[in-house]
Amino acid sequence: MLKVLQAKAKGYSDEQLFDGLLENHKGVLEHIYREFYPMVRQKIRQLGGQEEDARDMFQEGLLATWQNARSGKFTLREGVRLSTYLVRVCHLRWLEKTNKASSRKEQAVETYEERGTDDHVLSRWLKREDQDEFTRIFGQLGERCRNLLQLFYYERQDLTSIARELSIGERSVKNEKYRCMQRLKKVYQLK
Amino acid sequence: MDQASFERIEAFVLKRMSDQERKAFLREMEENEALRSEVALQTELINAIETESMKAALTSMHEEHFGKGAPSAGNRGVFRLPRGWAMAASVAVLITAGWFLLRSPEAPTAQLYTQYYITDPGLATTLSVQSDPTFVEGMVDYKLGKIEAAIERWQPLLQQNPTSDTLRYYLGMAYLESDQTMLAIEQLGQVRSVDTDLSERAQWYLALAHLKNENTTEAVKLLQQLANSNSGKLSDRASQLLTEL
Repeated sequence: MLKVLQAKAKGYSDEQLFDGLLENHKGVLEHIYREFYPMVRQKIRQLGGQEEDARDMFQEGLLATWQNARSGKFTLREGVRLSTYLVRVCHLRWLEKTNKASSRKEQAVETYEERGTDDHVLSRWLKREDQDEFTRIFGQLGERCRNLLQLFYYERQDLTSIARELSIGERSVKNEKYRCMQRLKKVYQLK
Repeated sequence: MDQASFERIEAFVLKRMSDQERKAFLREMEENEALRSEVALQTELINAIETESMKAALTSMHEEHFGKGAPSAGNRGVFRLPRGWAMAASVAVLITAGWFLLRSPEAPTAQLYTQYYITDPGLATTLSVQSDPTFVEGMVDYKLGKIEAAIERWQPLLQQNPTSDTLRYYLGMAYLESDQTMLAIEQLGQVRSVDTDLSERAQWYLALAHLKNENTTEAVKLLQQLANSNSGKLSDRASQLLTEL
């Protein structure tokens, strides 16, 4: 967090972008979106895609980059900048979508996902279609539960901040979070 | 599963265990299949919640920076009118605005406000010698969406520094963001009346605040001034908004 706050007003270093991405830092994500989306849009247009295609490819590509970073499959190293990796992933997604993928694509995907991870136990991401199903399930949870779980797990807010935001005690936040997760688990396992 | 076990697994998934606890937990997992399954399930759910939130955040960012109402560089590059057309548009704006003043103000202002309002992203929170730490802390809150916390920091600070237009502007933005429109109008009105770098932006948001407040007459006046100033992107945005009123 401190690293992110110390970032210069105009432009983050690649390391700061990577760290911010790992932390779901809103400012960093916005910066990545503003700076790199036009690059992807230009590429997708050159390949015959429309504005909506560019948006979809960029969002899917950024999600994949984020998940790979979290899983340890993508790390910064010499010659691989975040922007290069992201644009490449978006490009591959587009090739996949338009069925133009060839053995070259298979090779490229392997190159981009081959790195091992120390925490494979924690690298359980849902496939795209399963995530869509999760969206439906999560939607059934009720706004208060969804809000609480997002504040805690995505925004990484501590119990004190959440308690203040919801005007309840910290103990209540913990209890409510537990109950929400149990409800979510129950519905998820029934799917 | 009881709450204590849930929270223990959660601490493992979120990497909030000490090295020693983590090692012990991993050993336990090796021997306990039920625990392994629970960890897998809880990990999957937490990752799915994060993915869900990330998807929503990206959609919102796209709309904000590259959507229909975004004044971003990328968007301007695609949709900017040629110079001659801009002139014609300005004439059309004046005609439309004149027509508007003669009719009863029943425009769907709330919808237009939503369409045109984009949260000011705030200032960089780099700590520097010149920065007041309370102002910077408020800015961090503001950027994290903790608007009430930012207001709590900035309100007393403004009393100590009543001539700070930057502080007044962001306090106004925080009020606008938290739907305290009258307070936003009060602060932005003061920034707008002083000739600073922020006065034009303040005028734009002041117009939007009046629009939100359904005071279309005041909003149109401010937008016309902006549109006629030919000073850049906000002038273009004001012209565009006037055509929709």
